[in-house]
Amino acid sequence: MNDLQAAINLIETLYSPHPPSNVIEIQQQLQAAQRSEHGFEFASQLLSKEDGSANVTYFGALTLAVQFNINTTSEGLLAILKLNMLHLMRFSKLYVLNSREHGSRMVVIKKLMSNAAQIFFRINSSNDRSSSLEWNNPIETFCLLVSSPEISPDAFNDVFTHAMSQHVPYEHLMQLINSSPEFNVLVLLFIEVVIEDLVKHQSGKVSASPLHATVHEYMYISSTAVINQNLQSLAIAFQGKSAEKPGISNNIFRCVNAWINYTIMARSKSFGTMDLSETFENIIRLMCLYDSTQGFPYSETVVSILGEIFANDPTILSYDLRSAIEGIFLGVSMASNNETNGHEWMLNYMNHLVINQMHDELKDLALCVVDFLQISNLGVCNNLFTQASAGDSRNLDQYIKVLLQMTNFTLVPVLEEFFSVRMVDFWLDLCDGYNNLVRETFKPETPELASNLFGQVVEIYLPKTRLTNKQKILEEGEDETLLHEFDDFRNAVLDLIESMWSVLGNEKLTNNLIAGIGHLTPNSGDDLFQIEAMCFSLNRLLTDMNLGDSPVICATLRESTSFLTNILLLVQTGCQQKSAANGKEAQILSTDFVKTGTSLLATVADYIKQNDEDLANCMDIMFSSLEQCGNADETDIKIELFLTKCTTKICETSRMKLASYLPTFTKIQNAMVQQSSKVSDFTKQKFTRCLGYIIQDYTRDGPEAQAHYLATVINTIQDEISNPQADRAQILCLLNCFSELGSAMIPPEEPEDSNNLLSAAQFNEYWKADPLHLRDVTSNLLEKVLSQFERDSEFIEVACLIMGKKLSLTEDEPHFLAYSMQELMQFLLKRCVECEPTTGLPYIVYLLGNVVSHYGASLSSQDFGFMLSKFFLEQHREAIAHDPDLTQMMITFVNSVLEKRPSLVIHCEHWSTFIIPEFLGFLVSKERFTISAVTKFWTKVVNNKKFSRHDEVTICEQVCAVGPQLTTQTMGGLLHAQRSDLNYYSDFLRALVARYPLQSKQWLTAALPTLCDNPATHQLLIEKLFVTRGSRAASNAVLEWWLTCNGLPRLTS
Amino acid sequence: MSSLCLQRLQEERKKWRKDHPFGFFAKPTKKADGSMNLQKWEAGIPGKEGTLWKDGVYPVVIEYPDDYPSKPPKVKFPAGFYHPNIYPSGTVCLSILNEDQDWRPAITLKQIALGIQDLLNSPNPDSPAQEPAWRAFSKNRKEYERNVIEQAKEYTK
Repeated sequence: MNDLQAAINLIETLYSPHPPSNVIEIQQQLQAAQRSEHGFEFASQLLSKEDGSANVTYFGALTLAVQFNINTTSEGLLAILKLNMLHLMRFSKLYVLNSREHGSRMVVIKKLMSNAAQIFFRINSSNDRSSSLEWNNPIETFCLLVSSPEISPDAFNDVFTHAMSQHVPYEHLMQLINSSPEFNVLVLLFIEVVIEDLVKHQSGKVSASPLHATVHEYMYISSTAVINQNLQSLAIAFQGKSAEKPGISNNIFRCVNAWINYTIMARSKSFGTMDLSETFENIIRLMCLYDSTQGFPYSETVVSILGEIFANDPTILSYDLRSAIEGIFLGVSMASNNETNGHEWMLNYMNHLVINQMHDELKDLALCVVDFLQISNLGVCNNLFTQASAGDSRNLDQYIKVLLQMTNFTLVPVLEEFFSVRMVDFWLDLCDGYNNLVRETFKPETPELASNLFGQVVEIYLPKTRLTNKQKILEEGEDETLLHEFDDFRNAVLDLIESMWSVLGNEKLTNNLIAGIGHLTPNSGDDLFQIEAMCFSLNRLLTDMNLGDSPVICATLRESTSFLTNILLLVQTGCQQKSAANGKEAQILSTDFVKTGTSLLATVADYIKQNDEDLANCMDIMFSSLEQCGNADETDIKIELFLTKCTTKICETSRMKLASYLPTFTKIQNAMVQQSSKVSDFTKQKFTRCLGYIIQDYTRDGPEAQAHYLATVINTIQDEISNPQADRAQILCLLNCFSELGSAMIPPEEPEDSNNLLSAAQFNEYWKADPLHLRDVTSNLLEKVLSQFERDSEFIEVACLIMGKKLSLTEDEPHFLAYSMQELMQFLLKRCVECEPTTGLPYIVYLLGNVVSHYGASLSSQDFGFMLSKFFLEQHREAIAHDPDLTQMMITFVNSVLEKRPSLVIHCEHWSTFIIPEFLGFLVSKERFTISAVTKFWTKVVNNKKFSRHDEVTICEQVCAVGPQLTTQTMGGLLHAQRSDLNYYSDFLRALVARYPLQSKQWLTAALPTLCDNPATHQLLIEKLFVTRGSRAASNAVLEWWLTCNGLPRLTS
Repeated sequence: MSSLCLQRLQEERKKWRKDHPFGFFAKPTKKADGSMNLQKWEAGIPGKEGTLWKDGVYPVVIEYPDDYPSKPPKVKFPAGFYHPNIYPSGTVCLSILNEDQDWRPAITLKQIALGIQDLLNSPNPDSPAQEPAWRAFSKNRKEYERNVIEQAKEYTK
């Protein structure tokens, strides 16, 4: 681009508010000019243009940056630097002379400063130290140039060379920055630009120690001198009651921030420590400035700066400074009687923020203060609780008092104040610290002190977590974030209370909460909120306790007369208020009430069952509450779910005590499963399970009575299924109810009533005879349903689950669905014929697997061969061969039998005709589950502890016969497998090599060269496989071979 | 446990307590003597709103190895958890938790928790870890969705 004016026109077009459509073309043209060999002159011309617009001169500065990036010689670098500094000086002088007229040049000045910074970094970076250039302090150079008298461009060389190496004494520097506000602004800006760029520059560099050393030695001194002078000026201006905050304060604080960030970064990278104490002293002084007319001009800014420091690197502040801040924030120093100047500011500032409802600023202050407190948490812990205490005891008392007051901030947590929210962390750490202390280091009064202190913390937090506060947040109607934050706060308090339990124990915490709930007579909504908060906390404490083994807790519960009544009241109130007509606010709080209430009821189920009256009350409330649920909206659905889960837990736990409820349960269940019922399918199913629990335990009147109830439930289900109105969803739900009934009838592992064990034989006999023909009724019902839905996998699934209920039990354990193997096989064969294999067969095979597992002892290899034929090799053979999932399912089935009764498999008719040849082929499968299953199969074939002697001989002959093929297939599959599948193959290889060492070596030697030409790698693999013992070593050998043969690099050394 | 591991875990705890996504929880477990076990955490991952998983908070256990953060933590759901990328043992199959894939020592607990939350509703069918959920997800989406909804009820929020 030869014509400068043309270039200028393009630049103006590029930066115009509405760039033309060919903007990319313009950019490319200009970029070409920037990068060309004339780029330097181009930049110079643009920057020198007296009448050039800010766009043009900015582009000139940008072009210099491009030149800097493509120029690598020292000479070139020096030329760029001189040109850059010449124009930086020129524009800065103009700005100092008339900032209003030349204010638009600020963007150019900033870019030139940034260019200078980059050149400074390169000159001082480690790689270029050998160059002849030396430039230690760009700030001083800048000050000298801008303060120099007018010089011609020809004389600039000498002036610049002098300025580059010249040191500016402190007094002179102060004179210069005091000479004009504009000069001062430019110096501050240059410091900010250099230091911010330095932090960015560091992120891309591995090592820049020499640069940081130069910054530390030179720039640090002049920069901090400038910053501190400016900070002091702000304080002086305040004392002078200047009408408004000086505009330069933002520049100063930006500069302070840049230096703090840089110092933190330099410390973390071990580039040395730069002491900013004087700067910190100055900003802390500014923070504490306030009066009635000017307010708190710098408090917010400094609090935010300090907050960042405490959150990231608090030790950047010296111990003395931290002590001073402690005095300011708390009005008391933990370890000394130092003066605590400034606390008055703190009280006034908090008051100012509260009165003016400046909640965000109050939150910043809370974050800052609590982060500060966290620094010395361990110190507080030691001083408070151990003999190593260094502080005055009165100071300590006062210190703790202030912390408690801060926690007990009177406003609404989250919505209006954040002190109590953040203090949770402080107390949690203090509590953890206390728990980790060695008991021998305690002071004599420590246990009492700790329990008093944490007891007070509990007292403070319980009201804070009340839902009244959530209600206030809801009333404010802001976004949901605050609600989530409040829920998080409640959960954090739970963690704290759980932690404090180890200090306070049941005596001072759990029992207090129980008594608190139990002795309150709620007269108002507030009382209920109080009960909810206590229940919420208590639930966490009792969750991991086995109340059956905690007689003391149970006794306390009994003494607290209204305990259960009040929890039930929570549930009832929640259910009464849950209607959408009461508004969203009421719905949210109702859900919380029911959730807390039902969770606690489920947690204390072991206690509830101890008292018939309590149990009756609970069941009545649960029933009446469930009755009010009708799938009306999300709240209703959620509340129904909570009630159902709670009822299920109580019924499971108290099944023994609920026999008298059988008629009621049966009646409700009958009503519930009707299609017209509004309760959810989940509730229908779980309620049927509840009923099943009670029937299961109802043994006192003999099996006939139990059978009678079962027949009633089954008849109900049957009638509903036969109802012509019943649609697919309803029928499926009813079958799921049946399945839940069957599950509930499985006796618990440890029955409470030992008579049940004694009567098991009697019941078993009864169910074998099944005089009421419940098994027939069930199977007929299933056949009837499946005749309509024979290809619907969901029906097949639930039918298989029902038919197989007894299979998880031993022969001696009674269950009404005790089908014989013949009955089950008949059912399965029929399903197999009718099903759609892809979706239905897996459920059928799952049940088949359970049948084999249960009746394995009575099966022969012919039976197994028959199963293989019917379920896999006949009707569905093709589908199985084409569907990797079904293939895997078949292999897994064979594996399960091979694992338990291998002789059934290896002596069956299909062993050598189907299993061995087909399973060899599966070794080169691409699908992970197939690989996983088939390698497991072959591992079980070569190494199976359940083989008889006869099996061993047979297998040994067969493996030797297929050995070469087996090895070729395995290694072929392995070579082309994904990396994450290699372990499957290496596990099998390890087994093969261990079991058939001589033969496998020959097989491998023969097989590997046929796969790829890499003899050395093959040899290495063979050698390693034969000397490794562990699975990890074998995996590594296989991985190495796989990587080399596939030409892949190793990811890790 | 190395001092680096301990220091990093303390840092993670501090960071988490100060800033964690809403609805999640994570805390170190307690040892038998009541002291904190920083290498084993219990956490809860809420299902994302607007997804099949929304009604549950799913419990996970996070175990940090001695050489953490060089090696990633192991994250486990309860055994048998229904999801295509969760192994039958409950172990999560996620690239950012795999040393050979995308694990980086700078990955934080928050990123892991959010990554798992994402995984819940966006399973990776190319990295199956359990057969039932993977099969249903690939071939019978209706069954998959039904099972996910049932599971959410088990872990209600």
